Amino acid sequence: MKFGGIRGRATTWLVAASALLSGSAWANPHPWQLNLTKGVTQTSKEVWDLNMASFLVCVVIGIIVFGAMIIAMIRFRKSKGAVAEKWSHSTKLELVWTIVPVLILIGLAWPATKILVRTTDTADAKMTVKVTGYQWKWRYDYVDYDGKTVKKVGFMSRLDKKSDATRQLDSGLDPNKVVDANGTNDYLLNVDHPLVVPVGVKIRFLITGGDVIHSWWVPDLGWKMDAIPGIVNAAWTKISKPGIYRGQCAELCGQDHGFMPIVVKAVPQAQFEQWLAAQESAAQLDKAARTAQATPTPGDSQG
Amino acid sequence: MAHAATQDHHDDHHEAPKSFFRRWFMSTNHKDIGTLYLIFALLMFFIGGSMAMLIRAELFEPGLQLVQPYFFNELTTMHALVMIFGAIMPAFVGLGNWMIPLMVGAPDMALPRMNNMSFWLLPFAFTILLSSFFLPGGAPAGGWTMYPPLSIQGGDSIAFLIFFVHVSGISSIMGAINIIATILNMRAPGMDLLKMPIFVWTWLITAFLLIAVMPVLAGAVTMLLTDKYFGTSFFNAAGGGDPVLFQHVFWFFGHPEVYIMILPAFGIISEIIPTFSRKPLFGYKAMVYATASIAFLSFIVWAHHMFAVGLPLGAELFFMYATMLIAVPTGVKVFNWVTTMWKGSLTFETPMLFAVAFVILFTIGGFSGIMLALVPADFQYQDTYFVVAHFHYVLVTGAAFSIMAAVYYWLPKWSGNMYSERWGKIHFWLSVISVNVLFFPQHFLGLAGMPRRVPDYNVAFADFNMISSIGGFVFGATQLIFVGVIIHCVFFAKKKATDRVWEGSKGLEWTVPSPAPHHTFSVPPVIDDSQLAHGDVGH
Amino acid sequence: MQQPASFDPAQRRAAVRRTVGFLVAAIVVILGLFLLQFVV
Repeated sequence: MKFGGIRGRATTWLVAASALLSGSAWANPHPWQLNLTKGVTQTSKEVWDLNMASFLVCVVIGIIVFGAMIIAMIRFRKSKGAVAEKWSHSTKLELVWTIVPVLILIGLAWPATKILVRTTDTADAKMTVKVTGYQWKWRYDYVDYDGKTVKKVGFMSRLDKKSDATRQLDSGLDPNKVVDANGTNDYLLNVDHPLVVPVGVKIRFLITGGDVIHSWWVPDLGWKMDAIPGIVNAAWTKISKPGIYRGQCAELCGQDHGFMPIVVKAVPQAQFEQWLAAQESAAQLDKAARTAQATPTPGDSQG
Repeated sequence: MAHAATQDHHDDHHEAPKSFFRRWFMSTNHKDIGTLYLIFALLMFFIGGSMAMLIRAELFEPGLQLVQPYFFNELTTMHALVMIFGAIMPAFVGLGNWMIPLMVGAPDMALPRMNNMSFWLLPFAFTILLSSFFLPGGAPAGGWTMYPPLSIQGGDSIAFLIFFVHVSGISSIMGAINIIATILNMRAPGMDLLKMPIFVWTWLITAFLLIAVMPVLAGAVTMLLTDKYFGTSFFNAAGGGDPVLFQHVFWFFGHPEVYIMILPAFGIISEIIPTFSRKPLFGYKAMVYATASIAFLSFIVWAHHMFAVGLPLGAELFFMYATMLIAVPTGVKVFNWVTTMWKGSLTFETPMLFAVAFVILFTIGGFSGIMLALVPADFQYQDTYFVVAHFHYVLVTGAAFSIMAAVYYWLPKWSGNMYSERWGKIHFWLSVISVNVLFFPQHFLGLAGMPRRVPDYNVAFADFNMISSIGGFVFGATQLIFVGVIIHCVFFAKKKATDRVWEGSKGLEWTVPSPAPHHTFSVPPVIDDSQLAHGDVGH
Repeated sequence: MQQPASFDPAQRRAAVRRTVGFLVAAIVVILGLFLLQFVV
């Protein structure tokens, strides 16, 4: 049964191939993925560009250096009668390969600095969400939206039941069969209550840890930030496209570090406002309902 | 004929003691202690390696098949500790012990009895560390970086880990003091500092790094210890402490530690490439200065391990620029090696093959290092398999390959026999292919979004993980060939090594007989500049 | 400075002792800084 996931994998492949052909962007990791995601924010796109720029610089330098080595290894073999020269010094050459790399590095540091300065600025956010990492789940509290304080909207977000059952040692369940309604595999990348946020709005995250250090990372947003007990870190995002974006805890946090995924559900602004209002009124109307519901529910303060 | 003079020495001590116990347990001889270090390192390489095999077996396919997640964390933690403190560092100390006195024309290390003690602390340190697997709560599972609060959350294994760090730290510090005292005071007349082989230079600088940072690690873990057991709150936010402080102190040790594990490797490669190119090392002085600048820079880049902890913008920029700067002296070294090969007369015996692979693969690790230095990109790469691929390229195909190169290079001098070139080459080719199958796909996994230190993953990561695991199994099995080649060479090889061993070899170590007699240079050798390891004397 | 002090065993011993003394002093200073953390 371990290798019996071939059909499951074939399905994934078909989905992968069709999506690739139709040119739709990948929001989540897919088989044989070789590179970073371009993501759905300006930051993630700029990071992708920086990633490609630095990669290309490395490839070019690699071709020059390894090329020279390979030529040397072919041309200057003793078996081909090569006789060693005696020289061992050239100030001119050494100056060149000290200065040129400095210039290349400045060329890389410049865009990196620009991106960093822009992405560090968390001012003028329209919305604030507090993210708290616990062993081994996330808590999301909506702090304010559009200048108004949000009342008692907050919930725990943990690994979904299907993944959780499958991931047990010798569960006998096939990870390839953990799929969502569209047939996409979301093994270990799905939660019971996703973080719901609006698109096109600058959202500020206040990130902290409840017990040990965690790290909140959604590749499609383009960054990760450590969730440290006693410290509140700030970061922000502005998602350009509705969709479901998945990530994972990135800092070793104990035995279930690999089993506390992050799911961000980005919806149009109007839909989000509706959802938020429903959560707020639910919090006021019915405290008893909060534990029973399957949809995100407010004020689950017991965790 | 320098070795004619070194062979007949006066009559107080000469041959190795006959009794096994006296020779190997009470040794004060730099060669025997060097051998002990190397055997110990090889043993630890296999212990740490078997943990890696178990890790790769669990990661072979999605779902948990072999171990519980907590035990998986114990494995990753112990694999790192054993490989760093048990395999790589002792192997370099062993090579330094063996070769430094031979290379500078000293009769032995400056402090032979302390030398014995620095080695014999290690078996005890590692017994303590490895015994923690049998504790009720299991071995340490908070990562080798020991970040609090996680590291002090578990059982008492952290106390074992801290005691291990103290004991092996004392061992490293004593080893470093010995090496500095030897190099500064025991050189033969005429062996000026700027005539020393690069390997000696890199070890001198490494020893200073060790002395500067091992006490820092000792201090950091002691604070961790008092936080757990004696009610202090250095790193406990609830008590007014700061968990990030530990990371700053740890990486102030940790980054120089990275160079402690690579500078001697640079030295080894700078010995091997000129030998098999039959051409002097290009830019000897530049190599020395580059090593020194890398060592200096290593003290001001520590926070690049912590870009995601929420540093202020100014700090992020400073550490990014300082980190990128390291690429310059490192680049100088790579260019110098390539230029040394240019217009040489190359042959490709096993040490040279490993050296060439080192230059290429270490450079690939350096490339990913530059990508990681860019803070905005690091926000994506940090704590993913991209980082795992990066540091395994610099530590396995870097440090470990250089150690293998060194063993093949000097084994004939140590044992007096030639190893099997055929099996050495088989070992090389299998290693170099499998190690890339093992680690190259991990770049892709990291970029696609797989975090490090996880026992299980989404099926999207399945293919590359399986490839990586297969590479890992082959690489692990291949190292048994290495052991076979060594045992065969030492005990069974028929082909005797000449004193010079390699056609292009230069330096004092090749002027003594093969195998190197128990005592060498009891009478200081006469130094002939043209026979030294580099030919840059005129400059 | 380029040359080790001497090949006379007594002088060499003294030189080794100086080097070791200097290095040990450096280590003591570093450890002392940590000790300060516990005192204050």
